[in-house]
Amino acid sequence: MLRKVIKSNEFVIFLILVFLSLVVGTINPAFFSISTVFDILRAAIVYFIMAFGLLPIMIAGGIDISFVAIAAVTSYATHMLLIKYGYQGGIVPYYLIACTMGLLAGLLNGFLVTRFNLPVFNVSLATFTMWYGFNLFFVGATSNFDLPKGTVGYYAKFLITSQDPLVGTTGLHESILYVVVIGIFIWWFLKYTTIGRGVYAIGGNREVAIRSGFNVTMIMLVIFAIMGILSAIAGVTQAFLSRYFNPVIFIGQPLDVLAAVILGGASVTGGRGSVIGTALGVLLIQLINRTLILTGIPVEWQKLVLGIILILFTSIPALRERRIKRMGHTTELLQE
Amino acid sequence: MRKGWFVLITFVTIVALVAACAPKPAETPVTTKPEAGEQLVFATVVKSIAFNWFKRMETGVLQFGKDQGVKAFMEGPSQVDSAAQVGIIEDLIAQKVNAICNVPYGVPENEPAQKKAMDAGIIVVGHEAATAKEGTLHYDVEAFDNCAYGEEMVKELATRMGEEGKYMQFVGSLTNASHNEWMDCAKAYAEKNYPKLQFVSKYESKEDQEVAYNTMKDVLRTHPDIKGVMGAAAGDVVGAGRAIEEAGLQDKIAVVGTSIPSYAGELLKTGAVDLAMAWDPATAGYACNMVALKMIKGEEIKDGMDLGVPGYEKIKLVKGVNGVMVIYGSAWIKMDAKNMDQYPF
Repeated sequence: MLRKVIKSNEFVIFLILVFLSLVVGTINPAFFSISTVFDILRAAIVYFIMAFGLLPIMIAGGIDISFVAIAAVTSYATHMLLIKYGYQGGIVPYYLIACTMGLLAGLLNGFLVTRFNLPVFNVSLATFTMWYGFNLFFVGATSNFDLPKGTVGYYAKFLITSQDPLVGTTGLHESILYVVVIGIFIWWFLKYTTIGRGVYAIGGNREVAIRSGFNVTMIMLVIFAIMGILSAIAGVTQAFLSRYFNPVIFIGQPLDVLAAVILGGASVTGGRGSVIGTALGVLLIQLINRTLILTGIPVEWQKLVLGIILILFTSIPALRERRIKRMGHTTELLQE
Repeated sequence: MRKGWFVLITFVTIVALVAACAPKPAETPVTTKPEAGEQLVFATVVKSIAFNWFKRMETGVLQFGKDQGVKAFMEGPSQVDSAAQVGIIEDLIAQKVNAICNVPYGVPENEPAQKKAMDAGIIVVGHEAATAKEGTLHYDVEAFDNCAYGEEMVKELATRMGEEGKYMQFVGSLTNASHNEWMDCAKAYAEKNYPKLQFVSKYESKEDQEVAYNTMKDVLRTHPDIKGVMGAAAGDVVGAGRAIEEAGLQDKIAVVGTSIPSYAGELLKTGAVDLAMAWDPATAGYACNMVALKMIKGEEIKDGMDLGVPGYEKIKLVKGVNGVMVIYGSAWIKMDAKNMDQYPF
C-alpha cells in the first residue's frame, strides 16, 4: 500500500511541489508565510474549478480548450444582461444564469462530438473561437467595471484573514469552498458512478466500452455538461475576485489548465487521471508562475525557465512509465 | 431519418439567424454631396465604431465641425475589419468628400484606398498610422512621440517618489513596441536625471489585470521597499493598484501609468493609483481634421507650428520609418482623482 503511494504520480508531483517551495523559500524567506499560501490558493481557485471540469474529458481521451471561452461568454453575457435591467442584488443569480448558459454551451460541444463523431479537440477549437467572437460581437467588446451593489466587497470575503507586514491583509477566500465541494463531487462521480467508470472505459478503449454496454453518447454529454457548468462558475468567480467583467477573460490560459491536468497524471490519450493529481498539477503550475518573481529571475528568462521546468517535470512520469514497461508487464501487475 | 431532418433544420435556422444578425456591408453613410461653393465635407474613418474610444473621438470630430463650420462626421465598420474600412473609404471617394481622416486598422491594407482618395483630389490624413508608406497619406498625426511620453511618465513618478527609491515597470507584453519604447525611454531618462531612483525590473502583465495583481503581490514580498510603479497597458495600474490598496500601502507607493477613468476610476479616488496618463481620442480626431483644413486653406504644415488644438500647440514634424510625414503633438493627458470627471471614457 505505502509502496503504491510512493510510486504514484501524485506523490512525485507532491515531492516536486515541496522541493520547489523549499528552493524558493531559501532564496526568498518571505515566501514562507501564511499569506503566500492564501495568495497562491486565491490565484488557483478558478484553475482548480476549470481543471476539474476538464479532467473527465481528458480521461475520456479528449482534449478541450473551449472551456475558457465558455467561462468568458457565460460570465460576461450574464453580467451585461443583469446590469441592463439595473440589477443591484447579490451574487447568486449570476451563478444560476451563468450555469444554465454553461450547461447549454457544454451540451453543444457534446452534441457536436457525439452526433457527428468529431474529435473533441476539433470541436473545442471551433467553439473556442466562436464563443469569444460571439462575446465580442454580440455582447460587448469592452471590460465592464460596474458591479451590482449587492456584490461589492465579495473579493474580500475571507474565511480566515492574516496580517502580513509586507503585503497587508490577505485571506483565504470563501470560494475555496466551491473548489472543495466540486473536487469531492468529481472524485465521487469518477469513482462511484456508472457514468464515471464509463468515462475511464471510454478513455481506455472506446470500442470495448461500447461493446461492454456503456452508453457512450450519454456519458459524453454528461461530462461536457459538467465542463460547461464548471467553466461558468470559474468565469463568474474570477470576475468577482478581480472586480470586473472581461469579454476575453482566460483567452491565454487554456494551456495552463491543460498542462496542470497533464502534470497531474492524466494521459493525453485518455484512460488515466485523478482529482488529487489534477489539484496538485494546478498548484504546481501556479507555484512555477509565482516563483519566478519571488526568486528574482529576470522576466526575459521566465518563459524559457518555465518551459524547461515543464519539460523536466512532464518527462518524469513518462520516464517512469517506460521503466515499468521495460521491467515487464508482470511487475506492474504485481504492484497492483 | 427524422433526426437527420431535425439536425438539418436546426442547422439552417442557426445559419439564417446568424446571417440575419450579421452586419450589413458598409452602407453609404451620407447622402448629401458637396457642391461647388458649398460647405466643406470632412469624413473621419475609424477602425470600428463599436468602441468607447472611438465614441469619444466622435465628440472631437463633431466639435471640429461646429467650431470650423465644416460638415464633419465619423464613420466606421461595426467591428474591426480592414476590408470593410476600405469599402467605406471607397464610398467616400465616390461622394467626393473634401478630406478624410483615417484611423486604419491594418496600416498596409488601407494604403491603396488612401492613395486612390489622394489621386481623386481628396486630402487624406492618418492617425495611428506612422508606419504608412510614402505617398499613401498627406500627413499622419500622432498624439505624442513614444519616447517623450515615457519620459513624461517617469517625471511624474519621480516627483511623487521624492526622486529616490526603488521602482518597477509593467508592460503588456515584452513584444509590444510602444509599451517597451515608453518604458525603455523612461528608464534611460531616470538613469540620467534621477540618480537616486533604483530600477528593479520590467514585468510582463500579459495585458491581464489579474497577472498584474499577482505580480504586484510577489513584488511586495520580494522588494518590500518598493516606492514606485509604472504601468503601460490600461489594466496594469489597476491590477497593481488593487494589490497595493489591499496591502494598505496606497500612501507609500506611487503608481503612475497609462490608463483611463473607466478602468482606474475607483482606484484613482482611493489614491491606490496616483496618476493615469493617456491621450484623448477627441483631441486627436480634432487635430487630424485640423491638419486637413489647414491644407485645404493652403497653409503649409511646419515644424513647431500651432494647430490650435490643446496638446498640439507646438508640433514636431518627422519623417516616419516608411516615408510618410508624421506630426507629433505632446497631447498626453494626466488624470487624477480631481480632474477625472472631465474625461468620461
